[in-house]
Amino acid sequence: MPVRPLIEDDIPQVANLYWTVLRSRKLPVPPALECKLRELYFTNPWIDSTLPSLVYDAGGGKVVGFLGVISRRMSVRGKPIRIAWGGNFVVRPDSRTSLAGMHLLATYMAGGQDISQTDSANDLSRALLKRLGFKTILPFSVHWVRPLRPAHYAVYAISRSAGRAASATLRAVAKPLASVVDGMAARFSSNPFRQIETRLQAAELDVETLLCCLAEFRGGCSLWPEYDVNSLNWLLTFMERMKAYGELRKVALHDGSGKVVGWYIYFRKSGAVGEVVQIGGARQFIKEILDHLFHDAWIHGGVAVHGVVDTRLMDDFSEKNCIFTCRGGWMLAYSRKSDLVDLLDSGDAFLSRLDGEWCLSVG
Amino acid sequence: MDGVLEKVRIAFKSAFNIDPQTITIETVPENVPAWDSMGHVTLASSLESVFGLSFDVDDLMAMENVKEICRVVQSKLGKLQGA
Repeated sequence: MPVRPLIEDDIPQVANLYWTVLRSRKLPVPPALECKLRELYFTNPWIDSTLPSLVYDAGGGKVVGFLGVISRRMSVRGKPIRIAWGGNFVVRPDSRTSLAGMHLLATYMAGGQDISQTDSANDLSRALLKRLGFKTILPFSVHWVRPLRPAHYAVYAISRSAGRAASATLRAVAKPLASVVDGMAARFSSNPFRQIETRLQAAELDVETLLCCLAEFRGGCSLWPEYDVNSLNWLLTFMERMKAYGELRKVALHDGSGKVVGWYIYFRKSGAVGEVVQIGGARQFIKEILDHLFHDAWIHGGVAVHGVVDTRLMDDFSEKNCIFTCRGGWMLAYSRKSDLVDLLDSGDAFLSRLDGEWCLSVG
Repeated sequence: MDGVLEKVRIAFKSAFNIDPQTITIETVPENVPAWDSMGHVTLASSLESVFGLSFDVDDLMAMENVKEICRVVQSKLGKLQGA
């Protein structure tokens, strides 16, 4: 069988595959990429030798396919389960008729995990995964976007479908007009995207506070992620180095009495769309937490913020003029224990981008 | 087997829009450029439609060339007839 566990010596070949095929970039591979891949797959705090990442070896150690696997510890009503998140799935184009992709996926699915899962599948990989028995988990596949500078965001959205050069030109040409429109719109109280300052007080969210928040505000869900100081520290440090997404902003929000009532974590990037990793808090404060996030992103030059909806909070997101879409990456899951997939499918899980493979980008 | 192969050819034509006569019992994915993992999924759907069968993951993994496709299909048809 040409599918085998990833070993450290494979990393240069995996980096080459990732860079030239998955990212469609030209050689040479940035030296930092190998370090990031090594860190991600060999030093993460959840390493489980029984759930390895996989390579497709065409013979003689030649790696032509890769499927990254990150094991995460979760609980179902307090009972530990293992979720194996699959990502960075890539096969060299001239080797695809070996059905390497199918063999990698079948080996992954046959592993000892309770759930095989991905949170950022595109339409193509979704079709393949569904045919192999994965189920689309709709409650965690609905994305939201909240424009902050609507004219800039419209230009951004249109330019995304253009090529890289055309996109840059379009943005440069449209920027002065968009700035005028957004500047005027910000003065109208009827503007649905106007920013509101809240009475909540912000502070840097430290790991200990986040751990407490995750335990306190998981809202009675049956499935939740298990963290400790070490694993959460590792994760946040890894994410802080995902500079392509912007600056990782971690905010704890306090009410007038100093009690923590909520938090958010997102990538802040001036002139771009901020990617939200996680929002949480007391139910009655969610709208204020959203207002705080929008204001924070807006004053730092963001054109919009984007994230995955917690469907239990959909009313709040809707009231805050968020736009919903499924065009942002699909969550799919497979398990031999159908009740686990049913649980995810019913939305009875406290999951966010923090808990999957989306937040483990190697650049 | 010939009858099965003839219908398998129809499935290949439907999945990959190729001349069905190029498909023989010896055909392997390397002979059909579009027969990659995604193509395999499309082909499986065509085979299901042509034969009125359904394939699970184990079937998909076993059907890695035309010879094996014919074997899996015949086996499933045989089970259906025996039922």
